[in-house]
Amino acid sequence: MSSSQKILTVIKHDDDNIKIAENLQDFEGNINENYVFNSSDDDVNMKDISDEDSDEENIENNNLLNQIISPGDLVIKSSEYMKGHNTYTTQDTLHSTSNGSSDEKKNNDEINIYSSTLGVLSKINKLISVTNINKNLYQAEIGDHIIGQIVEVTSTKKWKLNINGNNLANLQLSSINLPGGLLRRKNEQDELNMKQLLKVGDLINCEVQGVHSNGNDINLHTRSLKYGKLRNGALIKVKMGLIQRKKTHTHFFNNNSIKIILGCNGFIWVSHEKAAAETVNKNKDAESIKTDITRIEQDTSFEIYSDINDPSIDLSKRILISKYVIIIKILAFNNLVINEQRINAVYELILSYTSSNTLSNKSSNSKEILFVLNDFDIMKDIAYQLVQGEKMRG
Amino acid sequence: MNTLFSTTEKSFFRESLIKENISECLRSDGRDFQQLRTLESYPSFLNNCNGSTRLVSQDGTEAIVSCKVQLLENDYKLSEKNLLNKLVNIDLSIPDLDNGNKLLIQIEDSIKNNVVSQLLGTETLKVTAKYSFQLFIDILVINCNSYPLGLISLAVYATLNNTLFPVLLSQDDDLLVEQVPQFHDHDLKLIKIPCPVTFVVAIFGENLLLVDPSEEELQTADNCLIINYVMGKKVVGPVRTIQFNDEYTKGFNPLVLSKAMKLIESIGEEVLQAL
Repeated sequence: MSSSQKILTVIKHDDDNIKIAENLQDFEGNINENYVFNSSDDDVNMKDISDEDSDEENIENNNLLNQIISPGDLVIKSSEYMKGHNTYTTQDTLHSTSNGSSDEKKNNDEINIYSSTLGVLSKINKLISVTNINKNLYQAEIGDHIIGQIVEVTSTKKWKLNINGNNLANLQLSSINLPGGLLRRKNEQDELNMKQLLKVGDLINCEVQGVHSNGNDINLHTRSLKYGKLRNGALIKVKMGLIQRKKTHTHFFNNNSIKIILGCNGFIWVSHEKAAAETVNKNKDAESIKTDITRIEQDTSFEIYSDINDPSIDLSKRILISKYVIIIKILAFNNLVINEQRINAVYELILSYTSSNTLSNKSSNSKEILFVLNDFDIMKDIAYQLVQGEKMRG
Repeated sequence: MNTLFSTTEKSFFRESLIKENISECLRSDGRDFQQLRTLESYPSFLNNCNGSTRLVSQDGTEAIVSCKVQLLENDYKLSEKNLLNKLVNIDLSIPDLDNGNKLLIQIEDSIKNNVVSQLLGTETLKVTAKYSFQLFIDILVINCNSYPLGLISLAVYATLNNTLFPVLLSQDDDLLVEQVPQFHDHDLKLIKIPCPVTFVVAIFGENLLLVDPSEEELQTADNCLIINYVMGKKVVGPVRTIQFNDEYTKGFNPLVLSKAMKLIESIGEEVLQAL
């Protein structure tokens, strides 16, 4: 238990100083290389501009369009172009002096356009912009099960959601279930009530309904009982690549008491699920009294938009939720793809940790195990064991 | 900073912390109530500074502190405090916040006051009768995910404890002789500058105090205290309160104050020794 009683754990990297110095040297070397590369590129451009003005555009296309541009790279040096998305300009005196005296006159009215992101160049007439190719941003596909967070309630019957992508996604008023389960056209009254249904900050479990205009315009819908507002749990954000598209993204663990939704966009929701028995009973009641079916449907759909968590979650359930949160953190920390099998495997590994390392205190206070698992070394160790186990099985 | 949480998430976090019985409370990351987040530390990682530290917190917030030393001729018109204010220069930058930001200025002032208050009445920075060392402490916080004051103050403390000063070769009494002090070319010595460490303590209800609260705890706390601790088992002033949410903020029982101070006194030394 020594590590969990420690008030502050500090991992010191004293020996890394030399490495950092070496890295810095490497880094400087790289910069020099880049600089040489850049300036030679410029020279080519300059020559072209001075030699044949008519071919200018073709050569620029060849030079830049098939190239990945990193942040800080000089995209173009010209007076004709305008800067667009993900680019910036500076008054770079160093550049102009290094380019030799013959070009000085030209440089006076020229601007340097630099990239501010990793991406590829896109040129529309005279507008230069760089398209981000960051793999950590979510590219929507129709049918993806994702989790989004509302950042704006607009006046045009739409919610804007952050889905960890390039742009915000739209959730239209017409693509949600109304409380009461009524199927009808949405009227002005519903538009006024939008803020009561879903507020800024709410997390929504939804599906991608359509992707338009090259992935920039994304429409979502929650028109199913399994979608809707998320409650009784906590959100974890992980890297995009750690979640694969599967048939199902909702998984149940620990005798169906924990529900984990692995959103395709890297948002994971870990929550408590009411015991299955209760819902079964409810269904039976509903069957026996058929007239009340509609009323029950109404009750459940009113629940969809409530902000109140289930009061029956006690300490043991909360510890369980925290445990699964940490399991996902361990997987994400070690860059392992997150899926149902792995979560189960890590859970079993953690059980063995509990019994071997903290025999004395385990039963009395199981929440102390949680911080032990936050330790970097233990996180690595668990992942190592997990990968070894998977290798053994093949 | 200012991560957006949904209402249900916030109430979930708060419900786990507001319980009558303390043993039933649970922090979302499973920490003990008085436990700080694990830190990764890279001491003296910059070669061109007199002292430097990089601390990486578990939530990804990274504080980089460097300290440079310069020689400054004393201005005798200034009072001791004003002189020290001139000798200690703090520059804090957080890329997410613009220069005039209230939070930024507040953190900067708090760190500066901490350093100056411990130097008052001492001659730590004095070189000769005429000259003093001037400190330039630059702080950069990147990937700032929660209120960074606690992390910054730990980093400043670690930096000031590994800052090396040049060794004086010439006489130290130059009041009558017109002479610029001369220093050894390579030899450096360590002068420990005492610096209080700041702890952020979140208050939940009557009994529960959380040291080093995470972002979700800040956003659901009743109130937060900022307490300075200096080596030698004592809490030094000023103790302040700070709020990070409008939803749950309320006053607190004054008894909580003394409880919080006792708590910090009991853990302070261990934290400083761990660094």
